[in-house]
Amino acid sequence: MSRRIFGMVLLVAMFLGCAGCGQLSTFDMPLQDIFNLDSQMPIWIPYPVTPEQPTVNVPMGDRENNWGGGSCVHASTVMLFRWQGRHNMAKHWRATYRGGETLQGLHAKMDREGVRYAYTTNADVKFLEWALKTHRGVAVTCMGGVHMVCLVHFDDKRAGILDNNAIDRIKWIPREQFLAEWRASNSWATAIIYTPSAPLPQ
Amino acid sequence: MILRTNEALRWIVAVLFIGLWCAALTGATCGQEVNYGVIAQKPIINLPQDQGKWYVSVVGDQANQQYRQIANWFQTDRDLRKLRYQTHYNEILLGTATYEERYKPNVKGLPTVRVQDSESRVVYEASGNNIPYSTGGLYAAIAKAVVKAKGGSQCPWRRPCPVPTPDPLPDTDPEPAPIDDGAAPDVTPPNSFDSVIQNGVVALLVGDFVISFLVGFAVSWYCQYNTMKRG
Repeated sequence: MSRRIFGMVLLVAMFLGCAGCGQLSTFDMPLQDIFNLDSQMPIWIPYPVTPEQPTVNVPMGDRENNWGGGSCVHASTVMLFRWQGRHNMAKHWRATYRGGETLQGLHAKMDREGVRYAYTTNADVKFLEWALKTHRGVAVTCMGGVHMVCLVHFDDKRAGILDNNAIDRIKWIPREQFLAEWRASNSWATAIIYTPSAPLPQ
Repeated sequence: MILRTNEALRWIVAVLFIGLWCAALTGATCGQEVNYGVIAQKPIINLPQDQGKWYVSVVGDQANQQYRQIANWFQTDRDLRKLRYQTHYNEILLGTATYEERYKPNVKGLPTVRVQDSESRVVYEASGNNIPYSTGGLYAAIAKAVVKAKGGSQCPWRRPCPVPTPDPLPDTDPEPAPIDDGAAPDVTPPNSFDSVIQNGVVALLVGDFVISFLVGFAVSWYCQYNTMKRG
């Protein structure tokens, strides 16, 4: 009796084996197809890349000069809108607002326009690091608090500044020097929170 | 009695005084809580830690029908819309400064659909006639490339969980993606008939091996047992 059972099990095992072989021979699959590797595409290996510098590399055509005698806050905001794909809002902002601006004034306008933003006034360096780590950029005060520029790069060695009074170049400053300037300028920073532009492909 | 009344009044006044001070202090503290930022007048508790998000760029001419169709797919198709929310999605129009300086030198044709990982590597790119003709085709092509780039395999039993998507907001700019912490997109390529067969073959081979091993072991054990019994 038990020999019969073993015989039946053996037969089933042989059948399964043949079925498996049959599938392989019928479809003639290469090994990479069995393991779901697409034969038409090369195997993708993450290669080393050099991060784009500055991180927030606003195109020249999207950079905005200070206008109307002291609209540095608005010019910085407009550049960040463009970098984050809010071109219509940038156009509206450029056409609507001008002149000197305070923290409360800017944020009241942003609230009115339904803009998503975050800010700090307590010299929180982590806030700057977050803004650049997420590729969004941030508007920061400088020159004792009478001017605002875009911080477009911020690593452990240096800071990159896009100044709306000189938009043709990025000003590079040692990190600590920049932080000292920011702290002596009310340490105000406002970031808008939308979709940052994609980095240049490598 | 009079003294007691006076004492009670003093206590009431003291309590009211302290209460007013507490209320004033709480109000002042509440005002300072907004120090770290607001979104539409609501305090931000956590800033989005979405530096790991990947990028999807749809590049083209607004006047081009194929571009408009593809851009529309990312608004209307369930899977592509989900992908859009899981990534930094950008529509790049011909003639803009972003196109001229950041895309024109490196795209092969228009329109282009490009997927980049968080460190700028191109994971998927198709342009012109190489772009799949359907939403399903485009999603499957992107999903395959993303899965491969993430170093994973296609698991037929793994299905995407339904994710609630917010209603479109009236805005002249494209609808902003929800704020969240994000990493590489979670995509699952649709199961094709071929992959079912492939997985079936693998399952049969593994099953066959296990059964054959067990049967062989049992037979040898049985023979040895019989020999010992006879001996």
